[in-house]
Amino acid sequence: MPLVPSFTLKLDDGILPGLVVVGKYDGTHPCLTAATSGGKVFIHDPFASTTDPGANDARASRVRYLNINKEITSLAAGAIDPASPNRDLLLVGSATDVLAYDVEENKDAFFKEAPDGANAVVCGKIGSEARTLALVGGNCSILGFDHEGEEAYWTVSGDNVNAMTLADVDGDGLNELFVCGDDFTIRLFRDEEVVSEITESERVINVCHLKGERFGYALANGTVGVYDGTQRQWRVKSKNQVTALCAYDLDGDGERELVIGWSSGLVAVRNESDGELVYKDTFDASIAAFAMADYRMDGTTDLIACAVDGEVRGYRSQAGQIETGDRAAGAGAGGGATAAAEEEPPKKKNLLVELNSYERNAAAAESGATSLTSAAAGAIPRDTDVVSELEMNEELGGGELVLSTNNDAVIKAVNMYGEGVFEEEARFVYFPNPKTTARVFIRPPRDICADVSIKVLVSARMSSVYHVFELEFTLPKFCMYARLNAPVATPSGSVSFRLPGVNARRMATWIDDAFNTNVTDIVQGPDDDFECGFVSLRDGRPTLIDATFDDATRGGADAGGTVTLRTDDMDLAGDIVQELCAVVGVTDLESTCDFPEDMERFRETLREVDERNADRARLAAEVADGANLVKSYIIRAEDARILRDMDTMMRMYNELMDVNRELIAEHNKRAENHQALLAALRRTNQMIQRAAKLRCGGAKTRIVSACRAAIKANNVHALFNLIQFGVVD
Amino acid sequence: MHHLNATRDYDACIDLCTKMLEKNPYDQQAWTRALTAKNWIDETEMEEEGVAEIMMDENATAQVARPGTSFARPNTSASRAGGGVATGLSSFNQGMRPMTRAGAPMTGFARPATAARPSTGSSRDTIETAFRGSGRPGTSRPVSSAARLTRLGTATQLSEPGGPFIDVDKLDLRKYAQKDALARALIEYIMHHDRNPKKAVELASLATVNANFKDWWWKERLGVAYYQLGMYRDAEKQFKSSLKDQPMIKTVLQLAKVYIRIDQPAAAMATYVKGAELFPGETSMLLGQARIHDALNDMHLGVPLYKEVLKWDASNVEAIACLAANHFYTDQPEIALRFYRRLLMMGVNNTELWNNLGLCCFYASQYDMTLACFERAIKMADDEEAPDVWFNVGQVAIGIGDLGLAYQALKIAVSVDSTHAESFNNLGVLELRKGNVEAGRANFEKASREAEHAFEPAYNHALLAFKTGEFQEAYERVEKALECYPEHADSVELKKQLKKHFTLL
Repeated sequence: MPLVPSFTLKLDDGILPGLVVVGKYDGTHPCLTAATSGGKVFIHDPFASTTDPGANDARASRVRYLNINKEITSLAAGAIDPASPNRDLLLVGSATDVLAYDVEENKDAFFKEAPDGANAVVCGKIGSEARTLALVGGNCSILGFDHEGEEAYWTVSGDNVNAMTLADVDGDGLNELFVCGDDFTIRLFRDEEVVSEITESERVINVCHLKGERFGYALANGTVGVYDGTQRQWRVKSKNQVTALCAYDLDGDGERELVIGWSSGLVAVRNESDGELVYKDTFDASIAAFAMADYRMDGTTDLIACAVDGEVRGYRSQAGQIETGDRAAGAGAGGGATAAAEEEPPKKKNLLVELNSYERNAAAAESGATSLTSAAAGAIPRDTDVVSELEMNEELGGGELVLSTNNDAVIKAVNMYGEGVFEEEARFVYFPNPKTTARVFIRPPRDICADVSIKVLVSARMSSVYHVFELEFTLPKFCMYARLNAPVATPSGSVSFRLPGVNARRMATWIDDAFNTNVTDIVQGPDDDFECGFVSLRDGRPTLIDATFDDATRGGADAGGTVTLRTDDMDLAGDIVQELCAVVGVTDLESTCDFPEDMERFRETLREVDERNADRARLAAEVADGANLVKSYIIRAEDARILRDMDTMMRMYNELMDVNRELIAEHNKRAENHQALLAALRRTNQMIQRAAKLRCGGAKTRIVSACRAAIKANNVHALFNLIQFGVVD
Repeated sequence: MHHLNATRDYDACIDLCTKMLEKNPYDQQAWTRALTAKNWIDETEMEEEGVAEIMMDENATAQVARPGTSFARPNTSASRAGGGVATGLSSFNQGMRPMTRAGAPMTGFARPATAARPSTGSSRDTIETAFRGSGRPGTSRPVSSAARLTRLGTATQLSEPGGPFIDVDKLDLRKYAQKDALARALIEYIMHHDRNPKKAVELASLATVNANFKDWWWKERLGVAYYQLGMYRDAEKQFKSSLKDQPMIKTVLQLAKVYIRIDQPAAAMATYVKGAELFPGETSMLLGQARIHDALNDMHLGVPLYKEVLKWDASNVEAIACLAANHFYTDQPEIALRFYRRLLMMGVNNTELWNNLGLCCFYASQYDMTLACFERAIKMADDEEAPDVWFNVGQVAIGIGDLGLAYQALKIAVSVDSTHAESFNNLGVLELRKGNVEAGRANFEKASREAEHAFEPAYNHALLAFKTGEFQEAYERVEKALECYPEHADSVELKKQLKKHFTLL
């Protein structure tokens, strides 16, 4: 159903994707603020003539420009200053800093360096923090600033943060924070702690809250969907890119729909519960962003859609307009009915075909024909079943999914679908020489616990009629680690922790499940100490699990076991700890670790950060010096031009060319340095996250904030102690 | 040597040190502050913005800020925008008080960089307008504010035979950053004598690291060096950090300077106010606030601050001069006269003062003194000041009805400065009285071109065009006048009449 805009605007300037916000800078009048090319922000104030009486030309003064002089990476508006709770400040993020600007007073509230970049900025209250903060998502980190630019919140996230949104998910009156990033995950933070984490199959570029635990997300490959908690409700995929996402109740039924903006210029409004397309509208250019505001100041919040060419359309919720609302509902119902009618014939046809085939099969069986004829007819024995099994193969460096039938029927093809298991989400394998056993090579790129749904096409040997068997197969999380048979050299890294309330059997069962092995065989009693070793099929590095348990007779609440993981792969250790805690139900876990190689690399990284930072200051000064020189050459040359002194002018411009060349070389150096610095900072943040992943619950949160404090205080010793032992000294 | 340094006999001190160094080139003790002190510049004062900055920098965040929140819109006052009704006292009235060349209101004290940018809008895009303001290309504004500081000439180095005293480019700054006391002397030398902020940044950042990021002095130096390089945001950060370690007057002043440069008067004001709380009685903070009020057209808010300054420092020339100007322009020339006399008693003896005294005497009806004052002013005036004095002589002559004298005085004014808009305007009026319509028109034309912010030539031109029946021309001109000064009653009236004419047609 087409969408009728309630107002349209055509702005003279282009809008950069994702960089639109509406703020009430004077406390009452909403202003559309967007970033445009050349490091500029423009503010469209429809009520300009009422706020600036000196403005003669009403049209021109509606749009004001702000010079940021840097590439703008994020934009937000929020009343973070408690002294003026109604007035929004404009927050502008760039690759290196965040500016909070008071538009009304033409004054900076703060200007802070954000070395991790500011890819996303949101304003609001998070968790138990009483103040309204400006939360800045950068490269692996999330920073929260108060109105004076003091750091009030800090935590680490996986990779580049692409989008964040604040919402009260659990209805306790405190906001949680959704964060999505380049590491394919959507995290939900309550204060500094990750409370849930969903891994998707692509870079997550946007996230928006719908209601309760329900939220919409968008991936870089053009997928949009909705999750309820950790359960996906629906998703759709397009060849276009999703450029904007928001939640707005357009049909006025009290439930917010998911509004999706596409790079093709399409605005699609989908029902949040089933993904049904409710409305759509098309722009000439790619959608830049959505905003929501009472832009005409008549008491109703409009949905504002902006395209990159500066076209702005406002849409209004149908609520309250009973007549049209009814019609819309009627049309919606009608649409549903026709859709059902359209769906009916193919369904019926399919069912008829299926019935037909059953009847044929039954007839063949009854007639007692030879297997050859029945095979020719495509029938397979009625008790045919397909079983699946995962076999790990060290030579191949991966696993094989073995599918076999229990009789002569052969497997002609397999269609598998599992997120994150295959690079391309689904895989279809056709066997030119079908056998009763089929082997499919599986090599999940990352350690994930995934459900693979398999459709096996089975038929009699010569038949061209296929029977489809549907199987579900759960890929164990650590299936890419095969059991070690021979003893190996002990890895230098280790992490050890105490697991309360876990006995040897529980531990062994978990290992069996997660590693696709059978350690339970070597465990007899509940207090048997045991050891087992695994080798990674990806890089051949060993992992040893060494578990000792308290005497079973001792009992007590804190009886349990001590586990030592020996591996050189710190990420793997973290994954194992997290998975183990989640499965056996440990909520708070302290651990001590020692990863000499990683720590040495980390030390190098910290040193590099210091050096790069020092270089950065020096290079920046040199570039500024060069820029000043360029400026004075231009002026002198122009001066000479006005005075008709062509010789001097030529000389000045020649000099200018030389300086310019130098400046470009300097810039390249600087850019290279910046990249290296970014990479080093990212490694630093990742190290903190790895250290945190070796702990659980409160200990995890504490480690993150303590590490941040240590880094700010430049206390490397404390930082290392924190990572290794979880305490400062 | 120390004695010479203390008595500020820098040249003698330099000679002595050179001799010492000739004997022992590695005697670092002889590295003296004398060279630095000789070339010292007060960094807390605002410097004039160079042509290059005006042309090519966009340091201000808001291109067109809300009225009363930016130095770039001097004609808009916060109180006027908010109040609606402009009372004569609360707000600057262009009919009452003249403006500087760049369109900012006259304050009574010529300070660096209050001349503001030559108006906003489209006209500043050309290099010709950037050069305008004080005369001819090549001679007027500094090329860039850094250029004043960067290594321009070798004049100072001539005193040192055998090249520069310290070749900073060859020093291993890392080594010197370790020796704190020496590094302090060295950075002053780099900044004031060598004028090489790039190297200063390098040394200061090394020294800050060496001091464990705890030394306010180094941070302040680093900030100043960044400021000189035009890296205002970095400068701001350093100053703030320095203030956190140790609040110092000069750091506060430097921080405010950064805000003024990035055109955020409100932030600069807040800095001064905070500074004034920390350092009660520090006149520079109060003056800073008053200057911002002046620049934003809120003259009446500046007055109590100037009075406060005088309470702490009774011989503050700037405060006295500003108060005098304020009294003069609020129709109290007698009181202004007393302030100017106070200045005279303090030993200030220059063209401007005598000129102002002359005007005060004239308006206070002490005619006998008037011409005597102007005579002194003219005697002392150089080419910069002479046109203004002659213009005022012309003004007085018009006042006493001696139009012949007025004509001559104004002619002299424009002969010295061919861009003196006020004189051209008045000359135009005189020409009209003589009946030379074309000459009058040409004069108004010239005056409007030279001073785009002034409403008088535009209005005069409009009136002339109206009288000669060129209504379209008149309408365009009166629009321009109203753009500069929307409340100008005569212009409003003229526009009304013009509209009536147009509807009749």
